[in-house]
Amino acid sequence: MEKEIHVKLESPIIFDPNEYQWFKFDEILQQIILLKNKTLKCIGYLFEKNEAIKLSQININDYIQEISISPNRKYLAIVRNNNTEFELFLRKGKLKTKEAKKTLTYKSKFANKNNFTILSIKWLDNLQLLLITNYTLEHLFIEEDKKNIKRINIFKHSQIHGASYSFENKLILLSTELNGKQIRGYQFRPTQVVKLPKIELKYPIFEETKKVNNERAHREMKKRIRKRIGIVNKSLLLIRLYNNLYCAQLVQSGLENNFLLLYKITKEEITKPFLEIPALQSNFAISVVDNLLLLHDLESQRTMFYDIRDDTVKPESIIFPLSIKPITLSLEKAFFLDKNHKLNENLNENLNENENLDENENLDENENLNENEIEDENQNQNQNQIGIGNENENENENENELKKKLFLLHKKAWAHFLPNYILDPFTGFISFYDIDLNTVASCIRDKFHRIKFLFQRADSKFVLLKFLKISIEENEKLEILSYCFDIINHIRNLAGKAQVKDKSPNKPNKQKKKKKGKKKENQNQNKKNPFLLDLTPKFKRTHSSLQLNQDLENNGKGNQMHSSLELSKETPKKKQYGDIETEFIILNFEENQEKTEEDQKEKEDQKENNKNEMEIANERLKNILQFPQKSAQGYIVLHQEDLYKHVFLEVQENQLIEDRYLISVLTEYIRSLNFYHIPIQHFLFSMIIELLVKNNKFSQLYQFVQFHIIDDSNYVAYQLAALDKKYPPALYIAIDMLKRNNDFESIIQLLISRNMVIQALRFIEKTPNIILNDPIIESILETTLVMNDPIKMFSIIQYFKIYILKYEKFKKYLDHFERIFGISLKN
Amino acid sequence: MNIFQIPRFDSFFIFRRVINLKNEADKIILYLPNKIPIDKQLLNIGFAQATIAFSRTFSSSFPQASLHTEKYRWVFFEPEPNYWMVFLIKNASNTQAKESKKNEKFKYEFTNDNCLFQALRKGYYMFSLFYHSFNHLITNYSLEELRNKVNQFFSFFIPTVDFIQTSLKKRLLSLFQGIRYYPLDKNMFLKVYCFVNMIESSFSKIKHSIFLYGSNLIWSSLNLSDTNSLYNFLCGYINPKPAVENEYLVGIEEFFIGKTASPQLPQPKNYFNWSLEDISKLPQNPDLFNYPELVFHITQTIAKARSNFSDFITGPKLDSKKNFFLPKIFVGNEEKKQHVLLIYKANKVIFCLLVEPDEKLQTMSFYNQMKKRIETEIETIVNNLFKSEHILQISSQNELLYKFLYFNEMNLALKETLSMCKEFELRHQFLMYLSSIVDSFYNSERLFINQEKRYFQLKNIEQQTKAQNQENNKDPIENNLDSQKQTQTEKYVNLDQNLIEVTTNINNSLWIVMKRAGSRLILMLVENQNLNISNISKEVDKLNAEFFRTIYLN
Repeated sequence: MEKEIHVKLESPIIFDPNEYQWFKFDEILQQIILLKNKTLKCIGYLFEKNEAIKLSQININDYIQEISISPNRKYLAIVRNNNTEFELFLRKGKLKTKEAKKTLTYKSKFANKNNFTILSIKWLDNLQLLLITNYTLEHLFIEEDKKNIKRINIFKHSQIHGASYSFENKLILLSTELNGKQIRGYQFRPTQVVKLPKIELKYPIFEETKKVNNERAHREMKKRIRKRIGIVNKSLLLIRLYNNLYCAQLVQSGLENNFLLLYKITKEEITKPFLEIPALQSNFAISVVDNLLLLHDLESQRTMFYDIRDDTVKPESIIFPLSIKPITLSLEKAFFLDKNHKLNENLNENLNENENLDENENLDENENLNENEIEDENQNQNQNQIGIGNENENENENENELKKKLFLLHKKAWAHFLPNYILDPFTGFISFYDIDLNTVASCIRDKFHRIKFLFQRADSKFVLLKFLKISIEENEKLEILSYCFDIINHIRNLAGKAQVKDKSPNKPNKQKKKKKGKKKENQNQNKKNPFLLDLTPKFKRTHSSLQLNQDLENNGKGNQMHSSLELSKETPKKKQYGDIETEFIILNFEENQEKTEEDQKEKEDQKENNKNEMEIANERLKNILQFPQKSAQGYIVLHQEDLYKHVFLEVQENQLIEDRYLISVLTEYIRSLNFYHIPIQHFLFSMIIELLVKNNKFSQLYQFVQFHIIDDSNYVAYQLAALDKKYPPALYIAIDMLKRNNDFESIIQLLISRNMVIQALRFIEKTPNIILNDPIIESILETTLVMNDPIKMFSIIQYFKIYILKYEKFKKYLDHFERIFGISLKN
Repeated sequence: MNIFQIPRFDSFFIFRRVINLKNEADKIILYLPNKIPIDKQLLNIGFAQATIAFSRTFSSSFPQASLHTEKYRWVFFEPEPNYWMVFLIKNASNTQAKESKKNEKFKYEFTNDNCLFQALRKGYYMFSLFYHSFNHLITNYSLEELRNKVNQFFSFFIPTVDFIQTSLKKRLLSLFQGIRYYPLDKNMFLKVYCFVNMIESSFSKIKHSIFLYGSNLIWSSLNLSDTNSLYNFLCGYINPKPAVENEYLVGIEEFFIGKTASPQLPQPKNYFNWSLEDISKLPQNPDLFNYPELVFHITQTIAKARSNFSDFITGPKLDSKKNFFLPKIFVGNEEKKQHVLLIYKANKVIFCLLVEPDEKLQTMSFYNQMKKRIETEIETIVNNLFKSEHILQISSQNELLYKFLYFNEMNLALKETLSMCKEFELRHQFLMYLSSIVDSFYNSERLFINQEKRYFQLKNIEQQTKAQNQENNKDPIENNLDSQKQTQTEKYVNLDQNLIEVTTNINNSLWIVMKRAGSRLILMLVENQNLNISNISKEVDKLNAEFFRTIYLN
């Protein structure tokens, strides 16, 4: 069964929905906002920590419609039941007190209109926000000094049904007019607001906001959760695939005509629908994982993959619909928010609801498992998941195996959030989809296609290396490997060029001017293609690491905080799909710094932490380098080190293939590297030399050096010099190499070490740059003594006569000379 | 009236030393020309044997020797223990006919021992490429078979030997049996190499391959001596140089400029004519092909081939698709293994594949498959090489400013721009002098003899140790073997101790500089009357800086 699993849910955050009066998933900050007794709790993937904010001036009896938190988490916007105004809370007292006080209220000019409703509040950045009502879209700015909210812009429409917002691209789509069929797009650029031409949707929006799909579930939910929760499943979504932005319309009309329609959004317009993906049932949802579009058919409980690569839909661009069932939920990295919350009961219900007979067996196991799990949790707060006791060791072993994976099926009541989150309001967990690249890739039979597919995945580095290794061990045709290497190096080459450009900010002080230029470049690029470059997620990342550090200093004692920190350490960082190159992180870090410096309140902290910041930045850099590097086109970048370490070395150790074939593969790789003008690391040459020597192919080794296939490097030269007993010409190849590298000292030492004293002397005489120094003289004389060749000794000691007579330390050679030849050197 | 005669081929013979012979003639393996009566043959062999036996008392090894007599030059070569190859060359002569008396004076300086020895060596190694060794044929087949094969081979080989070496270039080239490598840039070489790899990996039966462009080697996966032999063969027959018939004669005439002489024309090139009929009568042995057949097959196929020819030369026969012509050659480092030699030719590219003998080779589909594979790639490679050739011609113009020869013992690489030295090459004193310098520098047999000796010695030791092991049931005496190897490699290294540089001036106008660095040798000629020795040294430095910057030459 495991082999069939292609989709998994990762790192769930589990909470007890009954405990909270209100909860909502915040797509921008990728966190869940939970309200309980005047305290807001936020747990996010992006920040990797939870945070509690006390709301001091809020009447909890009020009905809350919307809570929105600014990206820097300084402001909270809350819309209450009256729906005509929103209140802005400023979070005060830094992190220690975490109290939010009501500061501002904003009421729209049109609030007196009939049926005026605030639909939602979206943050453009830390100080700008968008207020979407059923009549207007208002662009607001918080004037911090004046403690005022200023309206910058207002866009009126006869009716607004709903909105889709992309924080990364500052793009909002409004469905307007009577049936909501007309789509208006606004993009908020730094200096201007761009109105995209309106477009009529091909199909009407079936329901502008579908609250919860299933009636029964809806009732159940109402029963349990009295307060309204902010969960809506939208039918108009903004998704991003490979740097292209699409508007996805979920046409869920009923029995027939169920489609997923994709409209491409360029900087000028929204194009006509270019892709219609049929769905089997009306009940489906989409998510985007790693630039792959996942279509979850909730009725048949299957997930299809779509790899939409190009603007034009070629047959191969939709690579496969794969049926996937079940999904695994990995509890290994689960974070339990409420310790007494028993997930198993809910899950039990959850699974029963699916009425899948096949899964019933698993279900029972899961039940037991979860009880233990949670007990375990209670016992060990630091989440060391060791077996509970020694009494039931055998049972525990089984449980431990199962603990990692819980088999789940699509649940109808799950709310899907882009890009790939789900929220289960009944069971009380949030998680995100991930795909098992190994199994998915092995489903693609066409090798070229598989490689192409893997290159564009975010975390496919090791999968790719594994596939490469396997294909080499299976004696894959050289032309296929050649093609692979060409792709690898082509991408590496492009990334390498970008690296050269962007690495300069590494030295911030010296190259400030250049940096500015670069920033401009980036901005220009931004303007050229607003969807191509996306700096914000990275900014968030660094930001979070800073805050984390502050927490470490300030709140290390709090119990809950402690556990959250533990979590942050243990939970691997969530992958950022579709990110641009990691190199930008440095730039972003600086931007971040500038922004924070503007903020006077945080300035002091900044100064204190300046040193730490740099350290953290460096650490992060290191971490990022460990993360797979990706090129600007979103391809994975494989370096020589990766291939050497994970492919060639392993292949060599396993010894499943002939050395001859491995040499061919290596040279094929070297050919490709050469073709793309990538400097080749010496370890590849060392490996080739090793293999050739092992098979006594000295003549071939010579040809490699002769045609400069093996580049000159001192490392290789020493390796060759060591071969001279097996293959005497190797010494000369080594000397040639050292000469080309202008390493004359090494040549002299090499010659002396091979007792070629005369040659060494000749070389010293002929080479103008070398000056005879004492160590060289001493080593020559010493070697002459050891050689025990009287003729050579005579001539060499005569040669160094002046030195020997001049310095006291050479006296022993003088004595030796006089003893052997019986004549005095002085005469 | 004076009659000059150039050095002439008298005879070539191979004999073996066997004890307890019933018939004295049994020791003769080959005697060319074979029309010579058997008594005369035995007389010469006996003399050679006696000379060898006599000189053995002074030198136990007797690796190579020549005997100078007034009329003849004897050159001996012992390629395998107890087998001897001997050249007998009649010296050049000057006959003064005074009335009825003839006064013939012989001049020994026109023949060079080293060159002749090299010719013997080359012949033997080419022979062993096709037939393994003398001993192998005798032990596995018969003496008769050995005689046949030796006769077939050497009657084709001997005519290719240049006994006269009237030009400096010829003499030097026959001395340095080198390989010309094609100077390709890294990327182009890798393209070729990866193409070869691709073909090799696609057909697992292919064990080795060698890739030539014209008469320049690009890649070989064989060891150096096998590469050299196969290279010599391929260059001889597949890429024959445009035959300039007159060159030979013109050289001779100029040779005696200023002398009232009418030189005797050299004998026709092919001493031992083979006709197609003879070849068709040859006995067919599935294991041992007939060398004349190979030569005829290749020359005929190439003669028929058009300019856009891209096909196998050996393998399937072009005219009759049912038959296959599969010559087999012996290559390998320690143990020589038999491989089928498939030659593919496309334009100037010669791509040789050494395939393990297999039944598949008798099916047409195998060749079709392989041809399809090769054809798809080779066209671009040929085009690229053609372009690179053009570039090379431009870039190598600088080289023509110097007259030099470069030889590297390590990979037998040879490079020379001596072709235009016409002014001096015909003065025999000069040739002699130069030969003696070259001899003193490049004692060619040293290197090769060492290798050969080592091969046989190691074999003997191995056999001995095996025998001992069988007797004593002891562990193999590895140490003995190792120490033997050790001393051999030391000898090799010790060559480098003779590091010399010689600068000479001939007739106040020609400077010759010979320089040896390790295994590399450079010979440079400077024709300028107004230079002194320090200028020459500067010239040499200039040459070094231009062409040998990247190598260690001190």
